[in-house]
Amino acid sequence: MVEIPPGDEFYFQWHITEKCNLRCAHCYHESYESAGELTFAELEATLRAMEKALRAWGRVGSFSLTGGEPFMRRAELFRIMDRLDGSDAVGYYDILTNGSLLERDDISRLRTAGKLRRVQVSLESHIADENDRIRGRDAFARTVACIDVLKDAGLEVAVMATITKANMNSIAAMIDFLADHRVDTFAVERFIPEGSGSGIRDLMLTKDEARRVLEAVHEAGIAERRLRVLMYRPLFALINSHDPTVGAMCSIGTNALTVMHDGTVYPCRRLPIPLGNILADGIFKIWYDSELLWKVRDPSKIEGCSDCDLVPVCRGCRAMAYHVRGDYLSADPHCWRDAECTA
Amino acid sequence: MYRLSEKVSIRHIEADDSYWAFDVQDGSQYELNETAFLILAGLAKGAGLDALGARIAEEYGIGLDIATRDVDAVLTNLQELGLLDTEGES
Repeated sequence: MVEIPPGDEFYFQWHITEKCNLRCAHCYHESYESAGELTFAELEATLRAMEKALRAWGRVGSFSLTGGEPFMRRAELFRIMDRLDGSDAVGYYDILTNGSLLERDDISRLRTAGKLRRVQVSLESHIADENDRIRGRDAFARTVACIDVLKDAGLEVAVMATITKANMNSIAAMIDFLADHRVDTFAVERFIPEGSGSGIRDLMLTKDEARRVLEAVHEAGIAERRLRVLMYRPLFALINSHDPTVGAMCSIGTNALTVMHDGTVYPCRRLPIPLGNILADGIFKIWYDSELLWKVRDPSKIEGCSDCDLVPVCRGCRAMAYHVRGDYLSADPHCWRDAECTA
Repeated sequence: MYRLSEKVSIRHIEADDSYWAFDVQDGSQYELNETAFLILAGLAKGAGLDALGARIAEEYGIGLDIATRDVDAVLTNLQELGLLDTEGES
């Protein structure tokens, strides 16, 4: 699968359903009812709107197909994959799943997908109990079994871990464990207390803890040769601003949108402020008229970032700022360059 | 009588002091000069040709006749780009 040069890419995180068979403690969803879920005809119209935007902007689309749990809508998921496979506006797509619903026939189907880059599953630890306290009973065994089946089928597998106080000391060992299971890429997100995750707010990292974890991930990522540790995330640039594979500017307002199960558009799934509805408003109106997007595009409006030399490659996480400080333009509470911030 | 098309969104981007018109139907975008932006902003507020001419004359310290003629020329260009509707057209 070709990698798209960053400047040419536009990313859609597409939640085709809100339904999920798991109830992870840190989940950013508040509801799993999927009220107003789009029909397949509406999903197709959604994709046409995305393709129109990609063509108008001369960008190549990258997609994450997710939920909820996308395999709760297996038939629609596969039909969307067919459409993406046949679209000249699409570079590749990933499927973000908890992995627990995949069946043998699904694996065969995934192997035939033309533009499927990776299947991403979530795991919180290499220790079953530590994982299952967050993701539910037996989740660890099912996810690891899914990883092994996907790898046996020759598919590329990514693992995402959400870092809390509960698993922050497990990352290096986890990378080793995942490499043993032939996982291709590993990435971390800092836990943000939102949605269902508001109930475990006390597990959020402090600034010092976040720094230690990101530095540990960076160190392990540099040393690890068996899998790629992806560090395209805000704040990683604080560790090594000279390495182009480390750190990435928050994509809000520049090259990404999130589309929810009912067509609602968010700047990012972790920043659930509705910008409009993709079917009712269209992408261009949302993209060009949103005051939120225009504010985030202007680094001088982001507290703590305007004078920072890393502003082209970081700007912190606007969602973290919003959920912790109540203002998406405030400083990322984990940014250790901002001496005045306290986590 | 011109008015700003409903499909057009205009914006002054402070960060680089640039002026833009965006077509929210087909995604086209046009970088404007300050004068064109002032004219479109005036139209968005319902200003007519005379008021726009007076605004430009005041802004740039030029005669009203010259300003009105310039506004008329800019409006013609903007209409050719599809950024304007004429009265009765939507």
